[in-house]
Amino acid sequence: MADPEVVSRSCGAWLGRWSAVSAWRSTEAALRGGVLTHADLTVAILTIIGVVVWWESSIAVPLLAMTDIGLASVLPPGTWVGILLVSAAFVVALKSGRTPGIVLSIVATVLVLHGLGVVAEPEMRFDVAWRHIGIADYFRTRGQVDPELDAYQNWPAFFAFAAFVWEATGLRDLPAVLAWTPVVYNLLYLLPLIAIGHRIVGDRMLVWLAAWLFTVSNWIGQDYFSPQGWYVFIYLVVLAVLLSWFGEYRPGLPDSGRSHVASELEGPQVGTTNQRLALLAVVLVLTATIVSGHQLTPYALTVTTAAAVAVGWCRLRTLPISLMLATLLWTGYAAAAYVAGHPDTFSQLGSILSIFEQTVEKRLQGSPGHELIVRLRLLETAALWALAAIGVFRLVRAGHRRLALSLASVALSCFLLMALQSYGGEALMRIAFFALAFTALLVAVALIGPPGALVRFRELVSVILVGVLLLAAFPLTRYGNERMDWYTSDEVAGVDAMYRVAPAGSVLTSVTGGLPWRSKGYDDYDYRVLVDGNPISSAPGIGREGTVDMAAPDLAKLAEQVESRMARRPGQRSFLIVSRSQAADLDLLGPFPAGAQDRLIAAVTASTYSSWWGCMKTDMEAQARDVRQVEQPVVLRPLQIIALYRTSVLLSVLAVTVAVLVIADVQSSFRSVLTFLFLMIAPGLSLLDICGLARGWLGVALVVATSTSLATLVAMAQLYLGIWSPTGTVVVLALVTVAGQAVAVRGRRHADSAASSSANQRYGACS
Amino acid sequence: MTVLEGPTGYLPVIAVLALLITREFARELHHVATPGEHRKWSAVTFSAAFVAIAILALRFGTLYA
Repeated sequence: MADPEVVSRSCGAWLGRWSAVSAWRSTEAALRGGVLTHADLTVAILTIIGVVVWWESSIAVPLLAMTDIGLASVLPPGTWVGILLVSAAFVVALKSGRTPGIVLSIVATVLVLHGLGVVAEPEMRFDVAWRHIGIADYFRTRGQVDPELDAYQNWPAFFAFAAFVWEATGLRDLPAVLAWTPVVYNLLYLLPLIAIGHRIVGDRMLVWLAAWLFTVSNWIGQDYFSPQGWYVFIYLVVLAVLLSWFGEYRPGLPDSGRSHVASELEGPQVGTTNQRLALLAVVLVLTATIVSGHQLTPYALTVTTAAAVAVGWCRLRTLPISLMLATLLWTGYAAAAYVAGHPDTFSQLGSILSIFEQTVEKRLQGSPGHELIVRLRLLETAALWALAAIGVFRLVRAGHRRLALSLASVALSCFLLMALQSYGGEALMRIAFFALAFTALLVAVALIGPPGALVRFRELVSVILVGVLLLAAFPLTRYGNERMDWYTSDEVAGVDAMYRVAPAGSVLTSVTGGLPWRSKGYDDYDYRVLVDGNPISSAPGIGREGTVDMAAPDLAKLAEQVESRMARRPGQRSFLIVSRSQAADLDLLGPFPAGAQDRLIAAVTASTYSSWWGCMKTDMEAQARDVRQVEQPVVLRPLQIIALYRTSVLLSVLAVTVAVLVIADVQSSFRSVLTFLFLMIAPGLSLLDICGLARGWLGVALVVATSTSLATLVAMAQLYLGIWSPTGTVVVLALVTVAGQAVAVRGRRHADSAASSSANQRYGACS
Repeated sequence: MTVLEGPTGYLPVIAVLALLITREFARELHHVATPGEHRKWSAVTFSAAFVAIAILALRFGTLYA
């Protein structure tokens, strides 16, 4: 009798050979039939090898050896090789002009650049992302808004949506999923960018190159789990809709004396009246979520829309005024608690020089390594803007003067935000982010010439040169602060242990706040930090504000300051948590000499107060393990708009299934994945399908933006009305989906019967 | 200016917003933006927007007072 193991092995080998041979034969057939070209094959091979090499190398990065220049200091050669192979795939794909290859290589570029932190690091990076989970958790568990608490409660849309999705999907390990946010956000940004590019320059090569440039030059790092990251996507979708559907019907405005900046665009998509009205309604829904979700994005949208109106790219002339009114209305009434408590909100209005100083000069501090990173970021941004200026020049020289000035006007409009406020020293960074889509288009023009120009070898060389420079700079500029932004599993475990030990109401003090904390018990504890960004105080009784003097020569005085900051009421407990990431934060950003945290630990350990505080030092050098667990990403399948009634049936079945799963509170990953897909796609697809708007790149972006915005508005209304019910929201969205498809089917039947009766009439007339 | 704290403050602004949005919908519905046509902003829209901005300015003045 044959040995089963031998049989199984020989069967496996035969199957392997058979699948390899059949794959080769089908590839050969595709090549012969012209379905597949040699360029496609090269792109696929380069991309696959690149991603595999990148992945294998990136999961073994020696993170603890990282220096002050961040992740670049410890990246193994394999990671660089993987990134270069994927980029080479893009160049080959761009040269071939084949869309599937270009899309594949751009998606892979997003993965290897923006997924680097996710794959290389064992836990979700960046303390603010952890805090944002805590805010979503607050809404999820409390089901109400408390405007007195902080700014997040006054612009709660994003967190209301996150809390709702969290509850509806029944996800357990949220940080493991949300770690992938940068990859998802950066893929989403490309959808409206491509639509905007096609509308403005109408040249495929330019648009794809701009999409790639956007990916490799987005070092700004606002794409973690955050409202600003999400609303940049919505902001781009709104602009894409306005430019694609609501442009001026005529090219110039000679009678208004603005012909020099009027658009050279061809006429906008006209569509049907229903389509335009539906899109206008969608724009209003999207802007409503932006206005109630983030402080700065509505202003960016207002100025960019105003610029688009001014240059004749948008005919909705009252929209900028409506946006401004809605933004001020929300700020003045819904967010009144925050504004009244922060009189400095508009105090910098018009002080451009002071704002510039805060956003540039004050960032140039910290350790030499950190200063180098900040300078590199400034240099890269300046270089991109210089290239964009060259793009404007090339457009003008090629006779596209109106297009050049219009594009420059829209890109530069975001700079008006500099007159608003420094935004915690981030104003210039945010402006660069808002303008990046337009900057990337202009840089693409600078590299390969104006729309319609022939791409010769010289242009390709310039693309490769600039691309290599941007790629080399990316790990430095994007992951330059990584020494303090990454967390070990032990640090996360340490924070978890603190929450288990500390009863609700305890004082929790950290050194700098650079810690994966506040993701739970957001309002249940009294959170304090020793280095809070205020000037250093030498008073022993420092109280709750001011930076503790870590460089104080007298350790006893330092201990007194720490005790003062950690002061507790009778019956209250107080904890100090010290970690590797906070030491890195202090070393990188200062304001003390390196090793400040060691002094703190020495002071606390030697003091007489150590009996009443729990000092939990998570010493990573001792406990670090090389084994890194990397969660598999939740991959969204590409949206496919399939056959007529099949879509309706599928969407309706999906809606009913998800509603049943959520109502029955079925706990499984099947429910999580299905519900997530439903919430991201179904309501928007169902409604947009009525008017035939779910088509193309913009259609996909619109589907996601509309679905999520509808869920956001329902969830937020529930929070404000005190009727928080994620199950209720799912039911509402399921009903919207089913009703939308019912209307769509009815509309199609009418259209079909009208078409057949028209055909019959023609047939009758002929006979 | 406490009168602007409540509905008497925000309702007029919401009304102006509704007016502006309705006008945009009406323009799209009637498809008035044909080539060569010169659209004029109505004095009512301008005045209403001005009033809304004035109300909001007073509101912020009250908040910071």
